[in-house]
Amino acid sequence: MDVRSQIAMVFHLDKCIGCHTCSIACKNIWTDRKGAEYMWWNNVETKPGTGYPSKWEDQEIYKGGWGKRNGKIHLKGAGKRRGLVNIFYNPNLPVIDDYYEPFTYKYLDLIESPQGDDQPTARPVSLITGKPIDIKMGPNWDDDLGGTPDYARNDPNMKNITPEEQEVMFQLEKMAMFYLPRICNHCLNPACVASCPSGAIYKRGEDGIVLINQQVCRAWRMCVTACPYKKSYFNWHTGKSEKCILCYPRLEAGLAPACMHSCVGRIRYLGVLLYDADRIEEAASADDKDLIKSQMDIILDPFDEDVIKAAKENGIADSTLHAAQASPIYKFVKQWGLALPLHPEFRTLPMLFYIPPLLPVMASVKKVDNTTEADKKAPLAKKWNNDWIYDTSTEELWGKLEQIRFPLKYIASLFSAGDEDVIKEVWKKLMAVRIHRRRVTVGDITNEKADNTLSEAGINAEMADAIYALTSLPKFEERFVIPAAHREQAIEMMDFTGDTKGATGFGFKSKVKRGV
Amino acid sequence: MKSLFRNLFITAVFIGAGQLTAFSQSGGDAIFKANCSACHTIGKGKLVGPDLSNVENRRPKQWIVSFIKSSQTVVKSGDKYADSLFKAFNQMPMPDHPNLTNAQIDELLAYITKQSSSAGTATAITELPPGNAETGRLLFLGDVRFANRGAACNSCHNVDIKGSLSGGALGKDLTHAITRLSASGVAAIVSGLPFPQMKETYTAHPVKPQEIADIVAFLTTVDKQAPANPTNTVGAYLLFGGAAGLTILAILYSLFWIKRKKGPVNIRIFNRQLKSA
Amino acid sequence: MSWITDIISPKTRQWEEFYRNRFQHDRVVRSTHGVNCTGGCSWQIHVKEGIVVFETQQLDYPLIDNNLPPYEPRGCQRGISYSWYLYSPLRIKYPLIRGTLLDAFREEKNKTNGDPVAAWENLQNNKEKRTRYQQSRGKGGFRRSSWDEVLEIIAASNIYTARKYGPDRVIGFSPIPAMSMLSHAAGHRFLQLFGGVNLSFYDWYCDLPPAFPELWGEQTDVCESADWYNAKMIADMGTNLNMTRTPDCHFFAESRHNGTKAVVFSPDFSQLCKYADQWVPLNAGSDGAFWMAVTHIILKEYHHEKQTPYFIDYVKRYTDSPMLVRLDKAGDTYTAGRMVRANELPKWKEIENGDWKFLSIDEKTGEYVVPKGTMGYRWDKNGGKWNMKYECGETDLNYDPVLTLLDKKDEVLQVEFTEFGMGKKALRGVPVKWVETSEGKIPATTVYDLIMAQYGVDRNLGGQYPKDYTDPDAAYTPAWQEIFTGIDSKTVLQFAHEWAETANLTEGKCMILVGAGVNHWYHQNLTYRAGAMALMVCGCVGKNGGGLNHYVGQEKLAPVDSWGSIAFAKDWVPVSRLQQAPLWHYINTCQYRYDGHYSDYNTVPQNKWTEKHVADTIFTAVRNGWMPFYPQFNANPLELSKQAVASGAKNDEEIKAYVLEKLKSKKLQYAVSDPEEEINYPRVWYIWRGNALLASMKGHEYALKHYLGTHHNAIAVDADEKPEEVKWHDVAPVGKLDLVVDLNFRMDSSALYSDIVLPAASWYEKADLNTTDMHSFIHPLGQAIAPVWESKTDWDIFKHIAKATSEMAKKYFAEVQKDVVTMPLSHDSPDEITQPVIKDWYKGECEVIPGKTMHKLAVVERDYTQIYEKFITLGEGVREKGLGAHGNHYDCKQEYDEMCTSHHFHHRKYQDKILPSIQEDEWAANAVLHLSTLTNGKLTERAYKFMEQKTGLVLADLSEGSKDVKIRYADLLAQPHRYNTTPVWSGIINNGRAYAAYTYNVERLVPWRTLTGRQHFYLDQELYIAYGEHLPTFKPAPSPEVYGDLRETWKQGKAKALNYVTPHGKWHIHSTYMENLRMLTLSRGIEPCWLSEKDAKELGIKDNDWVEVHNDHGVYVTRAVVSSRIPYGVCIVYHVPERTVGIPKSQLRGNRRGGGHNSVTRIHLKPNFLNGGYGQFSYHFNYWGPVAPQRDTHVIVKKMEKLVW
Repeated sequence: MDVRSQIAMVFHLDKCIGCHTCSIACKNIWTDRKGAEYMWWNNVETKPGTGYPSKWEDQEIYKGGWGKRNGKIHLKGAGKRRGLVNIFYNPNLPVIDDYYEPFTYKYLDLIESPQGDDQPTARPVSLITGKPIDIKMGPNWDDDLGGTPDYARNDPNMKNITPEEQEVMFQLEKMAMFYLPRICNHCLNPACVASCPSGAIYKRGEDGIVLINQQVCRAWRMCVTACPYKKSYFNWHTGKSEKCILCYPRLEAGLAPACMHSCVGRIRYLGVLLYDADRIEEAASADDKDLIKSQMDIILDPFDEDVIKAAKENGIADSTLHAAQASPIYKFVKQWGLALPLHPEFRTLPMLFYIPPLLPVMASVKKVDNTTEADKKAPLAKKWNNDWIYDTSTEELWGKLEQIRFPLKYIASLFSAGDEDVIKEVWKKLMAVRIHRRRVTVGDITNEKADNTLSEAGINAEMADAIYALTSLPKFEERFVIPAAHREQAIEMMDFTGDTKGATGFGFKSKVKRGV
Repeated sequence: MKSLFRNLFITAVFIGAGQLTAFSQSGGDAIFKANCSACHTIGKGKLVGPDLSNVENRRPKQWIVSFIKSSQTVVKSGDKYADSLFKAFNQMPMPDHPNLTNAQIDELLAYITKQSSSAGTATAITELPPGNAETGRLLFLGDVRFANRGAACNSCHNVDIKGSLSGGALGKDLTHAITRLSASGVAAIVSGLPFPQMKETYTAHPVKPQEIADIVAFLTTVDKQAPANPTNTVGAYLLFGGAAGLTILAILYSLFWIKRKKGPVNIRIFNRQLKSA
Repeated sequence: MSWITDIISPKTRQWEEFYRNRFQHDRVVRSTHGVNCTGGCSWQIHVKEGIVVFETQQLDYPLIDNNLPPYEPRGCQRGISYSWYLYSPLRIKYPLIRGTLLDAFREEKNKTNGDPVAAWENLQNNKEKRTRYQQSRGKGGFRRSSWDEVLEIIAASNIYTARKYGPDRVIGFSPIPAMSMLSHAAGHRFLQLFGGVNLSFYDWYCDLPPAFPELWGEQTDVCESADWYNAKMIADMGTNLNMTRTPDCHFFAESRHNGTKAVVFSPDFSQLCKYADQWVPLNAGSDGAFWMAVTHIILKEYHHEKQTPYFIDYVKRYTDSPMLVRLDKAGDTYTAGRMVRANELPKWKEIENGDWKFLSIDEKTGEYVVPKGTMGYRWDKNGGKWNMKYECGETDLNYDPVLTLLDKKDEVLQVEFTEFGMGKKALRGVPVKWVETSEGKIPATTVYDLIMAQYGVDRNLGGQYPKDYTDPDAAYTPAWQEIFTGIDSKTVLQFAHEWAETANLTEGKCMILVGAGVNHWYHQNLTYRAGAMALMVCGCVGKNGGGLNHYVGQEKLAPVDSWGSIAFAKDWVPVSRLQQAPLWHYINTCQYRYDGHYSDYNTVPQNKWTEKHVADTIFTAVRNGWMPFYPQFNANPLELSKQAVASGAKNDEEIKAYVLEKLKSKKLQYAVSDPEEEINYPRVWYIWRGNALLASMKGHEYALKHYLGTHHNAIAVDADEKPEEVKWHDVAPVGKLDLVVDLNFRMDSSALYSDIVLPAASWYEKADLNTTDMHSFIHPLGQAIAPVWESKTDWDIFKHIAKATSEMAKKYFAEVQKDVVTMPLSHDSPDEITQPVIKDWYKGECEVIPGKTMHKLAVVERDYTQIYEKFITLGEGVREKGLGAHGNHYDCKQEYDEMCTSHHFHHRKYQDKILPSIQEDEWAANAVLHLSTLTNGKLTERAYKFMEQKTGLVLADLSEGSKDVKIRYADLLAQPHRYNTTPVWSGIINNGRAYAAYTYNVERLVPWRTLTGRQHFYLDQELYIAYGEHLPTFKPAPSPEVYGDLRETWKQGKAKALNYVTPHGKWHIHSTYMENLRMLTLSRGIEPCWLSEKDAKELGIKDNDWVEVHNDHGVYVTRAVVSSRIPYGVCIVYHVPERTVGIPKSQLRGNRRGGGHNSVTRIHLKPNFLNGGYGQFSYHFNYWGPVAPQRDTHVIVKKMEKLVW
């Protein structure tokens, strides 16, 4: 057992409001500069939709992540052999238009235009060429089902859904959408690290953060292809690739990463997980249907004496162990089994977990001829040309699991490699918590019914209250349990920490040297 | 406790490890050394390029700034002075310095002015030790390794000598380098590294003064022996061979890339849209 | 070998400092964003090397209660993008002035030997030059100028205008003080000292929900967002919490996981629908029909059949339902009339304020009683009876009110009820008691019985009641609502049952969240009332977790008591000129020209009020004191007093008498009666903190034409029916305004069209205060960096304008002036009980009595040389008159004196006295905090004592917990502070309770500020009866044919009309503006027009095609977004775009630059909101008056074939 610690995250999608505050928090601090304009280390996608870069989930196109052959896993697009063949030309790279050409506007024209005979307006111009541009793509282009015919209907997750089912996903009675915020998953089996010919990418020992060394990167861009989540970006100005750094400068100072700090929907949680590094390959090589289980298996119980002993032998600090025991992630992921990895079939063992959203109950629509009804209206009244009557009534307060909008297959395609049962289990638990809380706070649900629901979901009242409390009431320090960074000890390995105290920060700012 | 330190700095990787390079510049002195001293002196006569002492008295400041940022732009703009300068120095283009900020150029010019009035500054290498042409030949062709493991000259440069394979074509042909640049000029380039590719190659692997002397000696010999207009047969043959090779490679690669991604995934959507008149 | 390899080499990680260096910063300052987003979020502004580099949210809100989720973090995607503006290319760095104006002014100044006032005068008199600079507005040509030069031009125009036309031609507009209250106050203070006019905004933005004053006598009072968490059933209609309440939305999500059911009503699958347990996609604008049916079911099952005790007790005590209403005979039938007045009974004929006291019947004795707490008791000389105890005000005896006359009736009469959706009338039996009045027997019933009949609850009284729930032809059954909403009856039934059951079990924890999505429709008040009825009949108002919670606009200026005095300069000037903006713009932008008679475009009964042009009703309202209108007269009010003196007036009273005589004899005309006459134009307009010319300017193109005189894209023609009393001009004037001054930090659409743009400090560059109704904290705007380049804070800018004006006055306007000021009858004062019936003095229907049958008149002394000194000094008016708000009052002599002497306040010598100085914004902030009951505990107690006297109740215990509270500005910079429970507001928040409106009223029996002191089911005002809105009802949205958006456009070829709605957008409006590069990048680089897949297909439009959205009023050029979440027949343009960014030229309107979202809107006013002098229907700035809705607009969307910039 090789115990390691990893900072992991949970995103409670039912609480996500799709506001993108996280994206801006990140952009303001990290990617608001030349060459990085188009990078969104944190972005939020509307599902269904094709996301950013467009159709990133489709590995037929982008060849990201790991494949499995003869029981062994291999990089799909940028392994040792392929990587070498493609080293000068990487055939599966997204092009700038798959992201978008970053733009600004000639704002100064408004202030500086000479007197004319019509109003000036600030035209859009490219941030790369400085020339006028016709905007055709953006980092969040299909937000809120924008451009449904072009984007949502071409969501790569539709592959396993019949055309008929797809069609109703966009009709009044069954349509829905939800939001999927994404950052680097800081995977246990990161394809980017494995693909880098320069060895510039590594996973930090103390917290598992995956970083691209800005001095070593040589712009081969293999990581861009290898990352199935397309979370490694090439900076066209510095000629280096960059990616989410999980705000390590903030974590080291005891602050939550900017995207998490700013999550105004309070959907994000962060904490330590302990895992067994000896079994990564084994976990990543499981069959599709076993992937979630195999990943859960290598996450270790921080209260287990053997684990604690092995962790200490591996140099994991007491403070980190303490954080692991208080970790909200451990609860959501392992104890309660509510949070799932995104696209586990990419086999990178992502360490960011999602609680699937609850959606409105589906409705039914009756076709009616409304012309006679419309004629009844007062002469000055507006008449609608609708030919339907819509019914969303249910037998029970919230309806049943079977009445949830969206084919389960769709959700399963995102979070469980297609296994619908896994999604059902999570939904049952989430609804059981609500039913239990309704019994406690209103009392229009019988004890019998509430207890049955709980036991069917495999939880008890105590656990339901704990889930409710961490979902609804958590304070900042309950959502983010950040282990101590022990920077003083890290510095000591190179310098006397007392000297650093007086000297740190001195020096000159210099621009990153272009790598190619 | 020891293992705790270890954990803090374990870095898990899957293949290979990287390397470090560091580079920074500021202050007139440092800027001069890093960017100019390879080709210019201040008050010690011309080298690859002209002596820069009191350069501000010769040309307006704005002109100098433009020239430093991109000399060829000035030459091509039809500026007569620039043109004559270019011709006078063997049509050896001065590398662009787009990354020097105006503030840095100010510092640089201030430094030059200051040095002009003092005793003057020479290039990094003024006096070469006596060189051995044979050692230089071996170094040039890579038969003997540079002490600091720099790449052999013929990785990028060609010289017209018998009994040797053609050198690289990335850099200039150096057969008549001494005629064009003078011995001290060549030496200054190798030590000062004014060209980006050379800087990239040799910054971490500097060529030692003795090695420079040997190479200069070798090039001096070559310069004398070779005909004034070298035949291009080898180059032409290589070009032809290269083209054929490339075609074969292209065919091979296209087999690998047969499933490659062709343009943006949404190209059909983009193409239908109205463009600005 | 392990799968991973370790390398242990500290050196390989030295590069990590690369990112560490970026994050290091020098300073973190607390501030917030002053942009009417209602968020009121506390931010950490990070400064590095003297530059604001980024902002993140503050997390240090005190936890208010252990059973509520905490408030942190607050702040959305728009707020966090704000720092972009500080150094953006849009930033106004220096004073700018349009070259054409500057040159013309300089030329005139040379000619007049440097006399700026004469130069301005000559320029205004030179028609050609004036037209020339007016036509250049909006078309580039700005020049950098100096502060000295622009201040000279501004001061000259001020002085010239006051001298020539009067100060009431100088107008100011700045919206929503709560978002940065001192910045707002700065301009108001200057203008009120000057005698200028401030335009209202809350009503103009259509954010004022008229239903609140109608039902509760309140502008708006709602729960803070934490209280959503307490609700157990939430119905959301028309407020898209994700978009607009972004920092609060988590309470909604979190309550669901605590067992709350959430139902969302929205025609499109809005962002919030994602959370819904049920999504109800009713037809746009039809929510009211759904709610009418819900209440029908609840009244039938839970009131009539089950008589749920909790519900019955609640409506009895807290609503007007036990009050008696007379039935008027109309032909063979009866109709609902006025409430029966106490003084109609012979025995109470002479009681004080008997017109304003009402009657109930005592259950035990069967006798009539006069319930305490009605408006008459509010203004009785000896207070103490203004409470909601079950006590008769005249006998002080206890009683138990009779709710229904079902088993006490003398007779059943058939009463006529109108259902406006189908235009049907029905006669329904109502139980009646014959009341012996001084004028004979009259039939009367209770409000409750009237409501039962109105809702169609058949109680075996005979008449045309609905047969059952499936009857589609009778109001207001579930089957009936299907016709209007498209929602199945089963859905309504389930909803109504769950609603009533939840309310009963939890005693009122059902909540409606509502906002612009409903309030911006023409019949917003009816929809709100329909929803409010479902709340009130289930006892859900004034309860934590309940209530009608309206969130549109940051209207809640919490410390309004102290702020109001500073903002309106009441410390110096007793009266102010505050203008109701919607009717003002309706008249002044000439938009009234396109309206015919009211009944042509709305479903109303036919009578003398509805057969009128709204402009005429406005004139009626102004002269009768219901509504303000400035300019007042076709004469200079300063000249009027001089004329009066010349003709012998010796004092102010005689001046007033002189003016009154001239009005009576009609020698002096109201400006509103001839708004297009040159002398009646507004002249100088100050705009600050708002985008007055586009964002809120409904009928934007008309403003360009008539206010500015520049190009526009309107093609509408005058309506056939003209106003009768308001004088018609065949050709409407163009370019009324002499000067438009905009204070701004960005070049927005308004700045672009202004003459002078003054560089204003942004929100990270000044000291200010910010409050909201979303939470109960007060936030500071903190100065992270000094104002950049040459910008100044709003406080400083108006200070400079005041100074420049005062200095120039010394030379050109030195003599002290007397200004005759008109003011409407005002809410929360005895004015509200002046006009029990409508009588028009102008037509000789009654005697003229200013302040009773007509508006008020006052004479104010103005010393133009002293404006600056008064601006920066807090006047003794505060000491002498005390402070208060919402009918509340407290003395603050002690606190004022403390400010004059304490070392911790700043002072200034004014005319030999040492007075508190408010020269700097921070000093003014401390004055607000020191003098408010919300932040100074001593004053809280004093204010409650005042209320005890007024009500005869024990209330001061509510202030016990906050006695020692004394909050200063510096405290707020350190940490957010919650304010005190105060009688200024109706929520009790002691001991960590979440603020919920009216808990004070419900728990402490303090009356609402309405006619009956209770919540109103019934509105018996004459105009309400005339317009058919006295009872809760449903009126359908007007059809495009009658609404007049497309007449000319259709003539050019009939095309498909889409309903054009402009909800709050995700990327702007709230917390930032549309041109913010971050937000444009995250959206589509433009504010697009969203279309349904079906409409797009029919129109041949594909996603991201360029389209022209157009109608008679103008055109907006943008791109289309085709989406499955948009309903058929509707297109959405989220407001607010700027026409400054990425707008090509319109190919339909002559290759002219396309406009903004308001280019295709026009104002339609609802005239019943014009009434006044009648209880809660009395004017108050931003409280009462018509609002300016725009949701019923229709447009045509056309694909554009050629793209020209």
